[in-house]
Amino acid sequence: MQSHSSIKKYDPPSSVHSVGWTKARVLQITGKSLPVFHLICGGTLKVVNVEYEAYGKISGDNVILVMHALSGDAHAAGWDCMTEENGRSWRKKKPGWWDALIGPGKALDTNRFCVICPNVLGGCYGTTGPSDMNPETKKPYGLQFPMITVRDWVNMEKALLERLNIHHLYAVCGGSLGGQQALAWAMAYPDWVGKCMILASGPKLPVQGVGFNAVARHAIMNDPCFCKGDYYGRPKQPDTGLTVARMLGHITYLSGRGMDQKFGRSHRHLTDKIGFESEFEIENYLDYQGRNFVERFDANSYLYITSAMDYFDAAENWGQGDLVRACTLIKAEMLVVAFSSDWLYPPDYCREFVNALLNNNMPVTYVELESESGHDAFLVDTEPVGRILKAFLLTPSRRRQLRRPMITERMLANGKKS
Amino acid sequence: MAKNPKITASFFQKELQEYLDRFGIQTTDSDFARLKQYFTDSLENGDDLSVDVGNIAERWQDDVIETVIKSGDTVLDLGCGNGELMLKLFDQCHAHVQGVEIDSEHVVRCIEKGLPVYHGDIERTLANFHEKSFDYVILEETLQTLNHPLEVLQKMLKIGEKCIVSFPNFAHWNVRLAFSLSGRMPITQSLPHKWYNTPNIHLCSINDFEDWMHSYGVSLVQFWALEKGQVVLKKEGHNLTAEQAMYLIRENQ
Repeated sequence: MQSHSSIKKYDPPSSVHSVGWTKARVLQITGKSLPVFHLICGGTLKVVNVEYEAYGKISGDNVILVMHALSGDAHAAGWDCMTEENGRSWRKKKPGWWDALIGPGKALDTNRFCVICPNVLGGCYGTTGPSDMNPETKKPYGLQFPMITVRDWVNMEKALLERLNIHHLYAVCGGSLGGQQALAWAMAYPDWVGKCMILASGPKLPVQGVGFNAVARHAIMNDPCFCKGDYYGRPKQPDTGLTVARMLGHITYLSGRGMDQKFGRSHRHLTDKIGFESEFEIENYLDYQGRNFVERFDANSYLYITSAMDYFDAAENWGQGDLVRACTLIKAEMLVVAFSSDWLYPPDYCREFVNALLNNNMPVTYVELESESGHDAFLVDTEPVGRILKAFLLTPSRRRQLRRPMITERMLANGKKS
Repeated sequence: MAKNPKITASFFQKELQEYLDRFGIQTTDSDFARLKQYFTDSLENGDDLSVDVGNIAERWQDDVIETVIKSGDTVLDLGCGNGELMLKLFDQCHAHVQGVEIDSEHVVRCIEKGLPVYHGDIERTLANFHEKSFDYVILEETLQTLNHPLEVLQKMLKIGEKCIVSFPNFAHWNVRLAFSLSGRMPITQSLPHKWYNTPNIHLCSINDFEDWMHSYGVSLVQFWALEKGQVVLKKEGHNLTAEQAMYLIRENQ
């Protein structure tokens, strides 16, 4: 049995292993050199601001691009020194979301690497999103915000890096939605990427996950306060819908066994009779997560980001439906990490992707970690994850391309068919 | 520990013969005749047969494999362990390597060496490779631990131009003696486990393996045996005297 009270110890800002106090930066990537940001779906944005954080100094080829998951942000490590100013008081109690892995001497060692983490387009943590002012209407975008895709994120990240005068990445890294971006980087800009580290993710979200996201969006869009996304400034927001979406999300991030261990069946007895109040500990937990979430997340962003996640399909985008073909584009050294109890990206699905790389005669490292933390394992199981990432980042690579002929034949055969 | 009984000249010359006769075992059987000769010679030389033969050279197969692999060869190492062989093949032979390993601790060791490794089960992983996608597919000291050894061997022959397979020889005289005299599952230097904790679930002898090669039309390219700690290329009689065997084989063309 795991202990109920999993009191987390964080490195305080004064710790030698902490990146210390952090301050997010916001850079407008649109402007003279990029008058309009074109989106894959055809839309355009005249103004794109990107919030990002950076830790460690750039020296030579040492930049690691870290990409966050669905509800994440640019604050990947350290302690935000602007919580009050930016209205992000929830950050007071906790360091960045991957603080256990990013810092001096940690897996992503900031003594050695410069780690950059941007917030995604369409999000609500500083990067342009649906809650921002539409320069044409002088009102928040709401659902007027164009549809975005994972590829748009990668393009935005590339534009950001170019503005920062960075033209090569030692590594790209991410879990879940961040992993989709890492993979998209390796396929869209193969010459940029040295190492590609994908955790609890893959070339497409398994359909079960699409289903969960659909329910989440349904809850938001059918909230009476949603008002077709035009709820900004109104007295009531679609909090109920967003809460349900978050509660559902949290169930999918955990595993059945993990929930048994963490919460058990223990419950409070609020009255003598059984009723519908939140008595079970799991109900409390989900209520709490849901309530907290509405304070810090925008419902429209949730819609945009989940659909980008659903529509991402690397095989479709880069291989005309053939994943093996899409993988021929990759030049990076690939690391794929799956977690045994992850039911959003189960190891079976991760293996499919690894197999596509192997089918391409491409050397690949694949690790399947035993865990009961479910999909969240990439955030929670920092010890084994850190060990693998550290080893993968630091050791000079011993890999040479295996062989090419098989794929060439296969592609010729495919060509003949069409 | 089931120890081999103390063997004396008298045991061998009289008692063993009676023992074998009692069970109707033909001592004219060539292996037994050779076994007899082996003991006679050894006893005359004053060798102590109660202890195991010389030390098994640690990973002797690696040294041999290094002489086989050439620069630029692509190698798939099944059950690559902590990546020691792959490391040598990459650094010294300049080969292109990919490992497959089921043990997570070993997998981390491979990553620490910068080696590409697939964390998974050999039998399931093999299905992912195309025909002839590697110059060499290596299965070192792992054959006897597989659930479906023949399926693996056949798949290896398909995806590799050539295959290297090594295993402990269950017909080594020491194993035979350990089993027949102690009446317990043989424990030797090549087979150090108890019956209940052995990973070896499909042991075979050199003759068994060669029977399989013959019936499946597998071509032998090279054979190495480990005898008394020495690697030998001997062709005859190794089923009795080789502690371990290694084959370089290919699909019949």
